[in-house]
Amino acid sequence: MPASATRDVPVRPPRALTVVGVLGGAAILLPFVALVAGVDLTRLPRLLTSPAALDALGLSLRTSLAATAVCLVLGIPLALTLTRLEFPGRSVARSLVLLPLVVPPVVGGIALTEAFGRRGLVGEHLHVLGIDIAFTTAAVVMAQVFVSLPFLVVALEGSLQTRGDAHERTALSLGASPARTFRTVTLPLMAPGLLAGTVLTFARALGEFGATITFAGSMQGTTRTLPLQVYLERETDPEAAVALSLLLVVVALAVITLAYGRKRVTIS
Amino acid sequence: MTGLDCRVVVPEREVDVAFTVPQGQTLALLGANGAGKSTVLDALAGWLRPESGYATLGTEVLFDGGTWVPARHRRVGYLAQDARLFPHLSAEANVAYGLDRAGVVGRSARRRVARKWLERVGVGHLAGRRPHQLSGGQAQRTAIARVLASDPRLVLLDEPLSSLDAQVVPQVRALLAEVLTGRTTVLVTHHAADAEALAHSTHRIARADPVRPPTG
Repeated sequence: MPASATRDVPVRPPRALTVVGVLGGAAILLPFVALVAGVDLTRLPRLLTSPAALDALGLSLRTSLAATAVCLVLGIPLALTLTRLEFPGRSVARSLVLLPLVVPPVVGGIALTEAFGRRGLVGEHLHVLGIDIAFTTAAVVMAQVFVSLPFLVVALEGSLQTRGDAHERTALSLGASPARTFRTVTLPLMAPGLLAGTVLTFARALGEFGATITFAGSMQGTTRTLPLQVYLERETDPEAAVALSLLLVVVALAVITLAYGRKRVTIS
Repeated sequence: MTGLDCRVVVPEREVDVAFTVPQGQTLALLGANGAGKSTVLDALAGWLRPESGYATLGTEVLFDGGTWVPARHRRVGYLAQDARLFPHLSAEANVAYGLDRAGVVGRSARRRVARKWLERVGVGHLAGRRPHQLSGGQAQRTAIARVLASDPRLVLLDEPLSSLDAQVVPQVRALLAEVLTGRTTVLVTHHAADAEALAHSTHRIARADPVRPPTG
């Protein structure tokens, strides 16, 4: 743009704040830069295609996709119940749903074991029926659902609340049934929050470590997801750990780009 | 055949309003801000359950001491000052949305009827547009078509012209006058011109704004 062109004059933050802000950005980005710098490119292909790495990657993708699907099935009704239904203790319920976000994942894993382990509250009855969840791939998915469901619910609650219910009222007053209103109005208008929430949910499930290792263990091909593989390699082959970490970062970047990179769809 | 007969009592908002609207006529509900005009419309639409009162439409009870018919079963059409079109549907699909209730069966029949309504309100050429591609006046015309296409037995209009640009108000007002012919209607408005052009009778909600004691 030539110097003579017309320009808007933005309101700038104080210079000192900008300096600190750049430091804040560095705190986030520097470790990733170091990670990329630490990768031995010549060994990278071999490190990423070892049987253990491929097993872990495949398992991670399968379980994270399954967990995301379960979160959608459970999370949409949960978010609607919390925002659109008035019941006693609603605000308490809304806080409790956030619990997995704030407790350490390892505590979540212990709690899941207490509930669904072989001697757990529910697990002992399932055991009698011949169903054992702990230390199976299903346990991996359950741990991922446990930690990532709040992400979806929070994203959906936000979009439901800011939008209000005027469009639903319009649909009902035009004679639509509650089911039709949900299908043709509520669900389509949820789309932006749903997309962002789904992506965050998937990313959180993909990165899940603490609850998984506690509740599901670490068995190659069955419960050892990529983050667990990274942790294991760190002891024996640090270079492999760095390479696999880079892989997780690349997947996470792709996911974020998908969710936030595209222009936001605005719905009035 | 009687039209609308109602009394709405909401003590929390100091509202106690009663009026009747003869079948096929329009009543303009006037009154200061906060007098309870929108409260009355909400009760008739089915969004607010008043502490007491009743509303009957012809021979059917909308609500009284024991009965409460949910909004979706009332066949009461509601038009707000903003069009509230479904943003993800075309103008045509918006109008077609309420045709189920009007008894129009089948996809092609619904399309045809929706088109006809859009033409009648003067936006037939915009049937494929999404609401964000419509001007305020075009959107409100579409919303008018949507409400009336659903064949309501009672039409509620809450300041239907007040968010429109001044130059399109007379045309949309004339359109309303035409399509509301024969429809039992309650119109809430601040503008004498609206009441004059659209209403057979007026009802002024007597209570003035509550006088607030000086603070401090």
